[in-house]
Amino acid sequence: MSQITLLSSDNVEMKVDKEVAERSILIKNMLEDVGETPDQAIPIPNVNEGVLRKVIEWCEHHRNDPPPPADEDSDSRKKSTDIEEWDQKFMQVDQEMLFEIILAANYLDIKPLLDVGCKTVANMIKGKSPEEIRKTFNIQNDFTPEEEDQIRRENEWAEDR
Amino acid sequence: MSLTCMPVEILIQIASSLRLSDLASLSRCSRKFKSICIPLLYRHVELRLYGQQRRLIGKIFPLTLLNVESSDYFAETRSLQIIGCDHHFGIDKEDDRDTLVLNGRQKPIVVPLLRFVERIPSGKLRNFELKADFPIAGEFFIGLLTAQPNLVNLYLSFKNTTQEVTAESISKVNLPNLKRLTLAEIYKQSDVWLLNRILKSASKLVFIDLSWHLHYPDVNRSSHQGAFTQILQHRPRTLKIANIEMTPQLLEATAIVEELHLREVTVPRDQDLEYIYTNPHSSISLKKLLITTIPDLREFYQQQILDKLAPGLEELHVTINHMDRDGEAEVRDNIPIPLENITRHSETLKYLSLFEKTSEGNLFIDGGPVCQDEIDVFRHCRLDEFATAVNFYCQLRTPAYWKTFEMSPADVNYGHFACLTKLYIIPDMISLNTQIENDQDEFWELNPRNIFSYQMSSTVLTNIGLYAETMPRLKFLVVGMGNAYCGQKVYMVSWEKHVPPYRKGGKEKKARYLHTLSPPYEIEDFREQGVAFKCFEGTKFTSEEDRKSVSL
Repeated sequence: MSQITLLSSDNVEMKVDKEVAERSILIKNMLEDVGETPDQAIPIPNVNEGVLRKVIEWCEHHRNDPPPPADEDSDSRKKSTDIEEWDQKFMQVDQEMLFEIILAANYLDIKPLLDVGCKTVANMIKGKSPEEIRKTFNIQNDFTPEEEDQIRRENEWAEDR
Repeated sequence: MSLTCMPVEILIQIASSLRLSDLASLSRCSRKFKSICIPLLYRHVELRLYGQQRRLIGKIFPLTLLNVESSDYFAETRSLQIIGCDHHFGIDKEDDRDTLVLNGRQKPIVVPLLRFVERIPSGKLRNFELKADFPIAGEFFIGLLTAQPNLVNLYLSFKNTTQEVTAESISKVNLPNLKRLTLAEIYKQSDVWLLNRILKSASKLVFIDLSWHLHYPDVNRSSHQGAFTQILQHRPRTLKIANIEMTPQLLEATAIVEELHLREVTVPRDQDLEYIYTNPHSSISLKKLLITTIPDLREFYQQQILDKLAPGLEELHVTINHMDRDGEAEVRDNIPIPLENITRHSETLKYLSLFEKTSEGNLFIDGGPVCQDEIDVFRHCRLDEFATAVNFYCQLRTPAYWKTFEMSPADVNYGHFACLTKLYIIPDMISLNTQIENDQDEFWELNPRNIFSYQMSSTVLTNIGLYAETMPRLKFLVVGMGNAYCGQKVYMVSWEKHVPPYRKGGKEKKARYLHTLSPPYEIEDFREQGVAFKCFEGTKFTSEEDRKSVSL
């Protein structure tokens, strides 16, 4: 099995099976453009060593997963926040790392990992009041009390749905 | 790094996974989150309208949604559904929280609806569904259709719509992008004008579902004939027609469409006209076929469609509706169409439902063995899904066809069902006892209907497990017949091999298969997993696809 080398933003080289790295559509397209397995390390400028290791760990575990459906309607609301047990454990990291993984998945174009990351954040929001959400994610409330009250009244219909 | 610093497209993806209540909470956190959540919150808007139409009294809710004044909230609204039925809830004095009480005698009920839809910018809607069994003036939906020319999916029930709409206002309707059209309860002259107008203005309809009112007046007949010629020009993939006379074009359509539903499509009993209704095609290829008809027309459909079908059918539903109560002379112990009409498709047929029904429900009870035709069908075909009828109260299986037998494991061999992945049990008393409570929590409230559905499922599965020769494949048992939003429950089934203990001197026991039944789920719960089910709405069989909102 051929291997390639990835270079993190903090200049750490990591060897990884080509098949695993190709879970990233960005890397896959890059390798297809080059045409052969490159001798030099592929720079991943936006992802540091710690995050890249986590992303590779996820790709290793999911190396044999079928590719996600290409024509999935991006406009449809995906209400399910079910996450596989392994992925749930994988995502048990601090918020900083969770957001870094999501950004890395977005940059590297690993859609299933991006989905898992977004669902994990969605699960952290579920069932919480606005105040609890602000506290969880350290969000600054920039509404006046009157504004917030108006939004609450206007969206009251959605509260038990 | 914090959530607020994430790119907007990622925040939108996160918000897209949230339920409406969580979106509402998130929208109150900060201005940034409000700008992300509001378009999602108002993307698919649904109003419920319940009432007692004879008294012109009803309720519409949620009131707080009706009262939202900020039209910018609706800037990204793509789907509007107005759903409801004739229901006593409409006149209940209690529980008026978040409802607008309507009194049609004092004030036209269309007024709050007109005010509401005005907030949706013109041309934004892709989906509009009006399924309310309550008097709504035609001017309401004609106005909406005129203002929303970019609709892709339209479902319009004319049931109890009031007032004829003028030809002039209908002529302004222009829906060039429409792909899916459903018009239910076509009755008035103006309904037919609108149908013709839509068929003319749409460039390519792929799905057409038209049902006429049972008392559609003869005087309007001339105006709907042209519609069938236009339908053929669209060459839709799916065509569903109900409660109207057969036309030559409909028989021609058998060679064009992939899926054809003919529900109570009649043929006049005039022998001279017979040649008009001769299917011009000697061989036709359909993938899905549904026929619901009366016994007199059984032969007509057999000759004109079933006999001409080339092998390749994937789904077949046939229901014969007997108008009278079960007379002795009519009792049959075979399936309602010749076995050859089914076995011809043995290589491709995956779904089968065959029913004979009386007008008052199938109460005919006659103990006996499993119908031999059914055994033969299972011997020839590799079915994945099968639908059959069960009497809820008596725990007797009553006829998918007329033959009935006792639902006792000792008497009935259900071993042939072991090869299926999905089995649908349709309770036979359609009017009273078939809807299983919508709210899953009620399952645990000792509601008799829920208990019966669970017991019925257990009895059927026990029987399958006792007679199966190998580990049953059955994964889903679907119970019930409902309406568009509730009525059917799905039980997941798992199996375990069990060899009864050997007793000294006794015969070696054959292995049996024991089942474990899940709590009841909603059909929709499996959509994310890519599992689709057939839906039984009264005698109308639809696919789940038909009743779910289109993704826009």
